Amino acid sequence: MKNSNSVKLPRTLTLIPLLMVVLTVPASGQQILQSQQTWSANVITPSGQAIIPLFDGWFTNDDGTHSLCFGYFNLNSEQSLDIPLGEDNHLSDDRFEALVPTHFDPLPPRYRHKFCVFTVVVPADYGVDEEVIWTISSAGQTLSVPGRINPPYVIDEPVSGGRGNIAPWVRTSIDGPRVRGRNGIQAENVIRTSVGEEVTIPVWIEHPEEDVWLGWAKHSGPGDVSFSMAEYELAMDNTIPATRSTAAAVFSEPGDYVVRMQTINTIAAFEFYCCHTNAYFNISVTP
Amino acid sequence: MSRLTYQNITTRKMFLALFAGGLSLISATSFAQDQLTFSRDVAPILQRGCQQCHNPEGIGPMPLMNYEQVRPFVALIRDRVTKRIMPPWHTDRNVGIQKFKNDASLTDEEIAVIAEWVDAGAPEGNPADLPPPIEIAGGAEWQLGETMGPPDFIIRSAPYDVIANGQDQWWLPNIPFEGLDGERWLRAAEFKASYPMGKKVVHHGHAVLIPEGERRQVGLARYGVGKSWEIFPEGTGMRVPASGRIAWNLHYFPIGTEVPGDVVEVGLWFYDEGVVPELATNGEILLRVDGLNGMARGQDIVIPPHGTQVLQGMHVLESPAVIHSYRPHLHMRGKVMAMEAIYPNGRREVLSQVNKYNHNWQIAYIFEDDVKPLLPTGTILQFTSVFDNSADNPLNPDPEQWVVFGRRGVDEMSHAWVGITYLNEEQYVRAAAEQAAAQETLTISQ
Repeated sequence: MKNSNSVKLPRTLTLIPLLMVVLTVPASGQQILQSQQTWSANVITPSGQAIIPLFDGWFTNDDGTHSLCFGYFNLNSEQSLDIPLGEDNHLSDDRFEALVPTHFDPLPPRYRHKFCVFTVVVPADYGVDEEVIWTISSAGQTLSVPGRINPPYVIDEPVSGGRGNIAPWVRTSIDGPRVRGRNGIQAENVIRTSVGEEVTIPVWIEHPEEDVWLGWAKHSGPGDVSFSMAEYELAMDNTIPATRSTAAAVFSEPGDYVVRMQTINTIAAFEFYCCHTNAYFNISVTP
Repeated sequence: MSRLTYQNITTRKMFLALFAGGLSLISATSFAQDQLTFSRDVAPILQRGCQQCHNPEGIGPMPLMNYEQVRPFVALIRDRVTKRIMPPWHTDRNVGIQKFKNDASLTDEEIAVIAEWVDAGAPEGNPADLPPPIEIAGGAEWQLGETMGPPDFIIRSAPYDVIANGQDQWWLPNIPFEGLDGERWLRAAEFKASYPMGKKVVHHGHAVLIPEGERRQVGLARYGVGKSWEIFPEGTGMRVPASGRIAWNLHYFPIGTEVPGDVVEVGLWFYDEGVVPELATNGEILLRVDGLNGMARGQDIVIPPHGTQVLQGMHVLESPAVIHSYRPHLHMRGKVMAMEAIYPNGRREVLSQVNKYNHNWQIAYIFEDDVKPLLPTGTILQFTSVFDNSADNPLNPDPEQWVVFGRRGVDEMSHAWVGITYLNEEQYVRAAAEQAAAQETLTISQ
């Protein structure tokens, strides 16, 4: 029997680029029409492709109602798209209020997709056979997804056992109410600025961990929004009730905007579907 | 009158009648003996292929230990075995390696026996024909206990309270590993969920040892429903340091009942102290099928409603290797995963293909020693996965959803757990010569 010193340790393997083929689907289902896409061995390309609406799951609120969580998957790694509400971007049921986004950022390179960017709250007695369908038309594709109270798609909210993920508490003003979870909080006050002028958007975060992740994005609005830092880790100061953070944003066109902030203890938690908090800020931009 | 007098004729008739009656009796007896019975023909099959799970403490929904237990389910049994839904064994029987150490499948002949027996009314037969009962490990016992004896060492996870209802739960305790006097070499390991409830709520798990002061990881035990143990091939072991920390990774799935304080155990069997096996293995390693270079893992998984998707992943061997097992991993939309070798000379060979993947079973297909793939440096291991998001997929929770990468069962991912031992060139040449000699001997003997 050989001495163990003569046995080499296992070597690492080299992962070479993948091939991927997307198959079209039977006529009864939705299709990514090959005739209207840039054919590529990679499903992700820098531009030219559609936005896929996603149903991330549902949870039950304290009052017994249920929230349907919608996210999206931009097949473009560099191109963002703006799709106004209407025929090309709508929910099937207008009984329920929802902050449907009109701006879709490129596919995030560090986490899987844009998770739960808005919720639709449905009644406690909403049936398992009922649904809210989100439809998006872009790049020549009309794609939709149903939100349903389907038991396998239940998600924990606002905390999850095991990994111990906890949604951060968020305030949009120092003395305002604090909220956590994916239904989110809408800032009470409208922030006013003008085109090209940098404006500061404050938020206060509470979380027991040493740091949390924050991401800022344009949710809706007529022009472009640039952020000084769109995503970052925020060190928590647990000597004070809440840690303040700000985003510096510049708007390219006049009009009314909604800026969305998402915060989670770590972006690694996104794919475990618990738990982040949404916050929405109304920005009025003058010429 | 002939010498056949009336008396003679009568006697002759009587003799012929008796003879004919005797023939009939013999024929009837022979027919009865030819008829398939539970006791003689079916029970041995159930012992080999079913009773390990279908016993009072097993994970099967009903025990199948005796005729009274089997009789009410004969139609269901016939359906499941003829469709090869049961026993769970999902390899493609028409391609790749077909000899496995843990082959749970029934032969065509066994299936025919069961079908014919059911079609004939499922007779019990003579209980005296029953085979002796087999020994089955109890639900709380080590499955390897009978062959390996009790474990040399046991590690335990921290207790976890599994909720009754909710999404998948991931429990990641990190616990000190201590108690060994020195480095040892692992021969076998078994991952044992608690009985009875742990076996229902633990979907899969890993116990990975992080040695003190080292960066490597030692995958002591990896579990999925249907795969709980690993015995390394003869002369192969896993180097285990004396101390470190165990990083547990347990995936629980709520089943409608609370399971408080669940603890998972891992039993370790070592080579005798001082014994160093010739070959060092890492056990099962994860080889990804999903993923695009430079991007977050799995962003190439985009499965349309009612649609399918194919993914491929390739891994180059930087040294020779022998593969001893193959365990595909996908989720509810998983349908197929093939492992193919592309040799340095361009020759391609499908080593194994699972074409009836079932998310409820995480089976490790353990190759027999004489057919374990022995691969030279530069071989590409190519994996091809197929997802099925159609309504024809019985496990599909909603074919109208877009499906992307995620950790829940309703999301998707794709990788293979491959039991692999790397060799140096000398070991590879020797192993190749031994395998060739064994195959030549087999050919001659045939």
